[in-house]
Amino acid sequence: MLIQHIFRFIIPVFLGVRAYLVLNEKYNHLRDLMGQISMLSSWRVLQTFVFLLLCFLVNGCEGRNRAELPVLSEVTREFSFHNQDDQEVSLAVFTDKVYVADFFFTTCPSICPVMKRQMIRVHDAFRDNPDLLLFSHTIDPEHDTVEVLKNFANGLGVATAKWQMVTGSQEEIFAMAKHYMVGAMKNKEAPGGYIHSGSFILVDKNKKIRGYYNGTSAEDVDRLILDLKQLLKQQ
Amino acid sequence: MLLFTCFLFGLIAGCTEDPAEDRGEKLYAGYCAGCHGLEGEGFLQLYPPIKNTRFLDSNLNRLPCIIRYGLKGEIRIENRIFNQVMPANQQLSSEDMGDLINYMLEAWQHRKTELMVSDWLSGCSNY
Repeated sequence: MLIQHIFRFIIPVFLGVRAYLVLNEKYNHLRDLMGQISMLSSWRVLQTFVFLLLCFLVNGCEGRNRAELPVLSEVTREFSFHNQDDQEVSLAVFTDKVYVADFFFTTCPSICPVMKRQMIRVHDAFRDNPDLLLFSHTIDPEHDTVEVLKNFANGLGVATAKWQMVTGSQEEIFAMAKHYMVGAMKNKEAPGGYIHSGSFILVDKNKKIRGYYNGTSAEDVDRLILDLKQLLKQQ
Repeated sequence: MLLFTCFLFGLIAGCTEDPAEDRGEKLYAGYCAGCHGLEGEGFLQLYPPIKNTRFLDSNLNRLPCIIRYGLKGEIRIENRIFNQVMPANQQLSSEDMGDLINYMLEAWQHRKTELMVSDWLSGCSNY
């Protein structure tokens, strides 16, 4: 990171100096024209000004921002769940936090383990950033009790303050999934007994949904990590 | 001529592939890799590794029962304790399991022995 910053500074300065030298040589005859001593000081001022202008120009191009993330929806529905430490979790827990939500169940034989492999990448990338929380809802509360979720969180080696894993009434969890506009339902034919979306949902500090990402795709989660960096810098 | 040679090479390459191992690899990727990793490396303290474990060598005869009926409770693998629920995989036939187990033994250079999957499955009463 440090090296990246150093380069970000050095490269524009280097390019600025080079451009300045080239221009200086090209317009050397100008200086000859203004041969008087009284003119020399203003020539220096002009040189410095051109140098700074070039630096800013090059730097501006280097660090130009990515497009603003769209606002797709808003989380307005109140909820009350219990996390792996048996504490109540409501929307208030996410006040002034950016969070990434998903739906899973601990005995899911299909996509959930892949999603958790990807979510742990997000966790590790922002481990020390208190402004980002992770929020996983079980869709199988009958099996995934507080104790089961605690055991699962221990297996992942994650702290409750960073990664809330919640259980509650199935009706309320399905209603929340619907509110986030992702699918979750019982299905006897499906492996594990449930069909659910593998999406990660990105919610900003104003509770606006800013993106959906395929939680089973490493490339999509790369994009989520970049979007999170951008959003956390802005908010 | 060149096209024909390519075609011949393709045909030979296609024929030399072991279909059973290929099947085993596909079954592993579809039913096991999500949790245990594509290389059998496991996942954190959540899902145990399979590759290069003494467990794979010394519990071969239990493996078909574990795959079919799942596993619950604490399990010690290479001196680490794991305690998650492994879901049952009722849809895998004994032939599937044979290919699957053979693939794991082959891919991770474990000692290969004769597999008696059907016999082992008939002794799954404890599950």
